[in-house]
Amino acid sequence: MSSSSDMKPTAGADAAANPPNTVAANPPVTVATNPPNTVATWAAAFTSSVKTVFQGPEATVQAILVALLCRGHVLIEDVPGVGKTVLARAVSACIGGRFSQVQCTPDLLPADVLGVSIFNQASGAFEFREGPVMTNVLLVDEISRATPRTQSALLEAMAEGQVSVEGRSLALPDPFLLVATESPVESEGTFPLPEVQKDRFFLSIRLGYPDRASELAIMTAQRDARSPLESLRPVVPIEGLVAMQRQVLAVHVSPLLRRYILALVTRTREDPRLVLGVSPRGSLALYKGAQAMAALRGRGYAVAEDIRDLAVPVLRKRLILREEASARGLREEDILKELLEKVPVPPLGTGGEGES
Amino acid sequence: MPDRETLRRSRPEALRAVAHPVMAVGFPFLFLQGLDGLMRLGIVPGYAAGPFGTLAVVLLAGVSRTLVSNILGRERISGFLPVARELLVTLIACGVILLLLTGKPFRGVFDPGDPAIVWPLVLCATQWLLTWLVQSGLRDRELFLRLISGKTGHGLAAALHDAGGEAGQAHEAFQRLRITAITFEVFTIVPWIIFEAVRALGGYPGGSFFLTARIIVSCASGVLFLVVLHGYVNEHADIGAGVLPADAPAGLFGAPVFAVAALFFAAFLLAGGKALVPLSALAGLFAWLNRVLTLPLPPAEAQAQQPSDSLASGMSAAGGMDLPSVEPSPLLEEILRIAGIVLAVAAAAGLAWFVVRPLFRRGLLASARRFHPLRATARAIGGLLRALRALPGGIARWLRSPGRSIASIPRAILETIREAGAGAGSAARAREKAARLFRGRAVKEFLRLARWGERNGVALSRAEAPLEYAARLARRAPTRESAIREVAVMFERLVYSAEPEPGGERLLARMINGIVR
Repeated sequence: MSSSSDMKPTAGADAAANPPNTVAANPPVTVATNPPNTVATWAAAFTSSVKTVFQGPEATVQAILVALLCRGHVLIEDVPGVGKTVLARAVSACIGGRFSQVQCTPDLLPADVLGVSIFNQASGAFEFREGPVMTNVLLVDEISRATPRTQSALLEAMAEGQVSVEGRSLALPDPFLLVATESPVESEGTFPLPEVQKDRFFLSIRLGYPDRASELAIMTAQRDARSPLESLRPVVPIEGLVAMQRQVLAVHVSPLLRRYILALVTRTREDPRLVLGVSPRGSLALYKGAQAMAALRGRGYAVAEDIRDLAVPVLRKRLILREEASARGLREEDILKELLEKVPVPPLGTGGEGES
Repeated sequence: MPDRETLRRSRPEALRAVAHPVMAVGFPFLFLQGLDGLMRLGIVPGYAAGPFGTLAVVLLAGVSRTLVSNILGRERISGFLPVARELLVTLIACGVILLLLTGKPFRGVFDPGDPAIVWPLVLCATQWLLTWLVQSGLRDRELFLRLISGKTGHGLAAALHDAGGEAGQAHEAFQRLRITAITFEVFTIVPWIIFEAVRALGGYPGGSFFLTARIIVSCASGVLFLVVLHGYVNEHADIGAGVLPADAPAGLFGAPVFAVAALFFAAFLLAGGKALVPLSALAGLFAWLNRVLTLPLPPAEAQAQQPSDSLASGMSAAGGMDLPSVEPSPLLEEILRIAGIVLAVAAAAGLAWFVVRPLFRRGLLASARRFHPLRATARAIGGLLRALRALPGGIARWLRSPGRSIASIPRAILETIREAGAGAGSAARAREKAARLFRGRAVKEFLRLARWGERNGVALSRAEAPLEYAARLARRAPTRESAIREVAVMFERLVYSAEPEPGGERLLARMINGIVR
């Protein structure tokens, strides 16, 4: 087990008493704000900043942004060495928050993540040492290698925004983004997250290998002794991010589009190739995601494309395939893409009103 | 900054529903009633005054034009054929009513060619045409106001910028209407003045006080119309703050009316109290044409081919050629009779189908459910009564306003009417109605683009989002890529946003017209 953080946790500190948000040492860059376009302006600056160190597709950064604005968490399912850690660190640096990383192993205990009380001989009292979970961006590498007990502790943090340690509930910092990774290879000796637990993640993404030009750029950037992450500056202060999260809630989603979301998830529940379709948590995630995507694109209202662009990353891990479908090589995203090509988009496809 | 009151959302609706139809019907009707009075003096001998109630039928023709025009506009039906169909149905209906008003069918006399029917029908057609002319000219103003109403500040500035085309078109329409109105005035006042002078000098049968009153009413309505137009022009100038283009050159729209009025003037001068072209002369003209155009056949051919009957004998006699009589062929006559009947029935059936075809279009029931004539009529009458009730208040407001001028009278009256109308909750009803119908109109317009795309090999899929379809369509038509994308963005804004801009579907229609035409 290894953990690292940019700042040491304060000895004996109770996170509930301490200020939850600690701004990084680098001062935030002032972004010109125009109330209707604050989120879009910030998103553009954030994306360009992250792209200076992360050579993956822009859609990946956009997905992270959506999760950030919706107070959700991200599951990255991909092979090692494609930039998951760099991405998480870059996100943390750009929001001016603290970053922590947990490398999961089978012997990782919940206390290693949440924190533990240590007896201080000098003072003669127990002092609580915060675990790496007390941070703004937590990267949990290879979550499937952790035991179910440790996974549950992390999932509680994701769902409740707080952790229970030694009978006490400690509030997590705001904002709190958990980025978990899962490798599709080397599944021996692992504890894959149950499908019903994956439902707690807002969305799942795959980075994939970078293209040739990006990979060449990565190699070229290594000439500099300084890590490119050190050059990142916060794009917006933490308080600004919290304000934008509230702003996203005001984005209008037409009743047509709500019915469209419902039509999509209803089809997943009726599909014979699936054991389990999308839950109401999933439809709510898609609804909030559409709001965030619309705000990122500078609109005060969501459109059908916002929903369609997020449908696969948001709903992919909320489906359970039947064995025979899985044996045929069918994947969840194949079913979702098929549904996106079949379910009529209102109002053009439904004659003016959405499906009920 | 323009007066906030000018830009209330209820104003364009009030103009479209009440003010403009009243102007479009009233001004031509008052002109025609004056013209009718002049023609009854015998300027055109043979002019029949028509039965009692003729002027009501003429007014009805104008009112029906405004009502049908609003319906056609709401249903996005345009083109020559629907308008021609409407004119035909209107004239048929007016003819039937006039015939019944004469009372002759009840006495067993059926004579649709009676001059007492024909001349009023000419008046009905003229009323219909002039109403269409005026209402078309005021449509651009309605669209312009709808695009900028309800906006202030930066939104208003942006809307003014976007609506510059509509403002220019409205300005040109005002110019055309001004010229038309001035022409009407000149060719009502001048003939009357000349007639009165000639009557006094030449001892012709003169008019009466009633005729004088009709002429004065006609002239006053023209002056009022010009004042209102002048007020509109000033209002546009204020709203645009200089955005309006320079004065457009005079159009040719009033030329036919000008020509007709000039003909009346010339006819009066040349007639000198007698008819220039009496109806009997027209009958003689047709008879002469019949004689001249009937060419005599060589005797041998006439004997072998032509059937001999009284007509042929008469024609040959008129041509001065003696033709041998030929026995008529019963078979040929039967064939010609059957062919004539078939052609007549086919023509009648075609005409009937042309008239009733709109009743069979899809969505008619849905359109009929949306259209509640009694409710619309009651609302229009209520609006008219409120307008009349608000008229004294408008005059009082004008008298109190500082720096008042003649041109500001219509604005004062309109503001008073608008305030009275807003109190009845018309703005809330207009919003509900817009919300109910808005999406359907926008969808209809986008589907028009989709039909164009389908003709060019890019069909819209039901499970495709508008921007996705636009991207596919743009790849097929790269020269219109930006326009297609703008249409998709505009469409999504109209159907998905919380408060779509009023009049946006008209703008969408114009944008799509620019692509598909």
